[in-house]
Amino acid sequence: QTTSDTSEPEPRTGMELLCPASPVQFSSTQLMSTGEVKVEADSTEFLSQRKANFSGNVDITSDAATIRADEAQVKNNGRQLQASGDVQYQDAQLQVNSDEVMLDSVTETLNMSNTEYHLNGSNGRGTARMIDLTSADGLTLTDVSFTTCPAQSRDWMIKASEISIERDSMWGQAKNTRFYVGDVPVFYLPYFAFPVSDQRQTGLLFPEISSSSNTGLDIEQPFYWNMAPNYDMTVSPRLMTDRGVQLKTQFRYLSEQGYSMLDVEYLPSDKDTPNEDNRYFYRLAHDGYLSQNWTVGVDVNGISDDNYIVDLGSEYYNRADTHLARTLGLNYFAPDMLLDIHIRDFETIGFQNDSYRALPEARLAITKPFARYFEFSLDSELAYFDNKNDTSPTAMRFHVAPTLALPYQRHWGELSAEATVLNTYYRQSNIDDTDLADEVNRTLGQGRLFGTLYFERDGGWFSDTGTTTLEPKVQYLYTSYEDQREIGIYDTTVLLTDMESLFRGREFTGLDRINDNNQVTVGVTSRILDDAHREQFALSLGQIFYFGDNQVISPTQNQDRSALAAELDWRMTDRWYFHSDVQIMTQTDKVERSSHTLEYRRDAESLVQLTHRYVRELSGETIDQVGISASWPINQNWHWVGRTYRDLERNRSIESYFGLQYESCCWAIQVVAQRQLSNRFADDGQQSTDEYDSGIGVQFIFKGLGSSKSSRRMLEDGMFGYRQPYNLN
Amino acid sequence: CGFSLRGSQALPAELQQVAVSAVKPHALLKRELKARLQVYQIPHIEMEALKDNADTVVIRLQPETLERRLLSVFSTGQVAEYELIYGVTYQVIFPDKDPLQASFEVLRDYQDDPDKVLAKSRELDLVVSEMRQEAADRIIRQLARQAGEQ
Amino acid sequence: GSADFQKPITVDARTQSMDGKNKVTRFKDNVLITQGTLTIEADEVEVNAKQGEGKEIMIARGKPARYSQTMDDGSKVTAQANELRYEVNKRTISMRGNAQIKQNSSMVSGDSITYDMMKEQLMATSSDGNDDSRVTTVFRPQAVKKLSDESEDKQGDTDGKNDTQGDK
Repeated sequence: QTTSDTSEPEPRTGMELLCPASPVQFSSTQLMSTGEVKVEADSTEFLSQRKANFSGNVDITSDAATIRADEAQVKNNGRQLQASGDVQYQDAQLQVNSDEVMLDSVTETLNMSNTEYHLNGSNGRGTARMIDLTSADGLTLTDVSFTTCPAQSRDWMIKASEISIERDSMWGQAKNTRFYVGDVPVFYLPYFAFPVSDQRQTGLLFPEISSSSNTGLDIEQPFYWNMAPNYDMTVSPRLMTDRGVQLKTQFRYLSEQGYSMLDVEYLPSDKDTPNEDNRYFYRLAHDGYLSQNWTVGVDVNGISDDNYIVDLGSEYYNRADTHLARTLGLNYFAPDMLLDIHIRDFETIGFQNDSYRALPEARLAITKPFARYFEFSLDSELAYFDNKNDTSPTAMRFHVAPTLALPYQRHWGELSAEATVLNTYYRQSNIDDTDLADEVNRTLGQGRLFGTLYFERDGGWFSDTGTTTLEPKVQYLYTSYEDQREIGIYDTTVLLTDMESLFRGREFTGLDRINDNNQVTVGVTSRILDDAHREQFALSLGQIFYFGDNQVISPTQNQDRSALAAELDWRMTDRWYFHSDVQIMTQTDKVERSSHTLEYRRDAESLVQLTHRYVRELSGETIDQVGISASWPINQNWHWVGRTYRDLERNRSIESYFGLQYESCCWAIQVVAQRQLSNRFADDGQQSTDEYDSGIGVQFIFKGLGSSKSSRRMLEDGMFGYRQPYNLN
Repeated sequence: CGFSLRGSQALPAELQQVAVSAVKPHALLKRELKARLQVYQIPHIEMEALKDNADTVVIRLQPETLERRLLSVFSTGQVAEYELIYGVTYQVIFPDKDPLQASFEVLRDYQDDPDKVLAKSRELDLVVSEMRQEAADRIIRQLARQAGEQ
Repeated sequence: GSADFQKPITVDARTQSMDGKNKVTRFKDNVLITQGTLTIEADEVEVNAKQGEGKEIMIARGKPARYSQTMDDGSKVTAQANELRYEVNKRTISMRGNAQIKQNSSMVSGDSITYDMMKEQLMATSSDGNDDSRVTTVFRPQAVKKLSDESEDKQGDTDGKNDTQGDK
């Protein structure tokens, strides 16, 4: 499948129209060179080297800021400066009108009183009785008000007794904060922290207020504790009217050895559960280096019950996920060798019968150029498989697969030949009433011949601009056969076959089943590229021709195999797109899998997309789903998003979602109504198949505030978040 | 019907070799890209040798991202098909020119199976390594176009 | 410095003319007035000695006329303007017409500047009316120079320049 080159979604063009442009643009060209100060005034008086007075239209320009005032005084030859009378201070970060500015370049402090300030680059503005900026402890504003609303609309405002942003710190702190909607005080917080992005631009992370049928009113307010330059902690109490107060804490630690993060979420006595049980989620992640070539990775998660994520949501897992990872990994890197030792365990969600785990699994991969044209590579594995329920067989498996390859790659094409020996040794136990053997050794031979050529021609089908390419591919694959029914199934299942995997030659993951092959695969891809070398059209077709039936069948899959695959991506005009891919079973001419998408897209915010997906058989079910999703602006402020997905097999809706957003310059409100298939687990671990969750969600978004999280895009919200369908690169 | 074998060389003559660096040490995409450069016969050097090889194109890889999106669900509401989105962001620095920022995504469908969690995690590794190889080929293919535009 | 004012004033020029009645002497063509370290160069100088010995008023004109003197602390003050008016007994110099005066690293320019050489005090005003002819002063606050020297030699983390707005 080709790849899609999705640039960042275009910045919302409407944004500028909503907010008046910020009044003064600060350009650093007017500044003085380092260390120099220029003062212009109607009259200047030097009383002595120590003191000078300037009066009338005073303009002071230093190497970092400009100050305009009625009069100014410079003392002790330039070290202290005081400007007064309708003073306007401006630097790269902010612009402040005040009645007095004191500047001391020895103690590197700047104080301004009775100020009205405006942040450059954002429409954050407000007033403050005092602004103190010192090199020692950063920026402090006392009796301060802040809003991002333009002057004439006072939709919301934050007032605080003090806001301080420590020097070099990622966060600022606000004390005795009152939040006003219009002139009505709505909220009081003794203390809260807000992220200051690294460009030292002030941003406020406002508590996230939303409501849903799952949690009732849901208010989460983070407190940040910058314990040290390399470790910090964020504690976010979350009040849910239907459930109680949950405490989410995140601890991060950075050292030369790597980065680690511990996340613990705890909800004592959840009111919405029958016997008010305690619920928790924890996650330990570490990504580190033991030495120059050794790295270590930890990703261990755990939850209290199967419905935790469905009820309380999670930043790391989707409500539809089937398991949480519990892996510990150790890796050694050398130029031509890779060693990977890890323990792969899982916390499954809901009742799963086959949960095998690899405790541990070691993989060694070596690739070495050999005798100028050849390439020798060795894949070897040692694994010990264990199962949660102790009646299932366990096994130790040792696998070695040396390969000799002759890759010949040029820009016009590729020819390669490979020969591989696959030897796997098993020692299986706990196999009493099964037909598995306690010791099995399987040796298979595999040969592969692959060739592809890239042809080009100027001009497209209908136009003479751009280029058309034609890329035929052909592969012969032979794998010997051995009866493998004495080998248990530990980490093997059927592989999804689509256009990409036609040439893979493997039908199973893992190693417990290696299918015999004697087949030729033929494929062709044709693309039309515009003058900027961007794909407008990409069609791929591929088919496998079998010389004889396969003898190794997996217990779940029936006799015949899928062999014909096609994929089309087509940008018909600059607004219409079409994508489709199909796999057909050649013996029965039945469609195995197909997906089609048609989209009309005017810009990132105005689009309509129609999709259909079909899978004839997956884990015993048929998937036949159709979905339509649309997003359209009504006018500059109002915008709606709608989406509905139906299951045609059972003739019922899976998710219907409707969101309406009102957006003004400095705030936005989103009202979302959604109804979706609930996958909550009943007590017996089974999932009901026709229970629905529905709810109304209200989300306040204060724009211009630090965290982008607070302005979640409705388009990507819900189960079937929107994604561009086409894969043109 | 007018088709001829693709002629363009991967690297224009004046650029002799490529050096690959990654923000994250031991990035697997960096190893894959160096292997594919080898296969495409494009000379590449280590970053340390950069000082005495002026005419080198440097590819600087940002950390890769792997996201997934729901495509279809079973009758129980649990996920049936995911779309895997492998995100690549990198800078291409031609000698005496300012760096070019580029990013793209490789997409693949992937079926989950609640009863075969270990096997499915092996399939995920296989699919991601295939996407990584496709991303490496893609970076090399774009290199010729980006060099042409300089 | 202040000792200059006890020294005799010598004026030499190519041509000189006297107007006895009004006690005004005119000197022309690269006129040079010296008094200790104080020097004034001009195209034309008019010395008015009406108030008697030691209270002369010298009006020097040039394109521009220049003044320079070394102060007690050794620093050199230079100035220039279209017209320099040196009042000997008041020990002041008033300059008119794109006047400019420099000492160490600071410089003041404006339409008219009056400088008291004893008290080293200065008064500069712009001709009222238009805005763009305001008095301009450029100086390098002493603290910055000391600071920047200091941080050059030690591996200081504060960058050298005087950042009036805290840390960048």
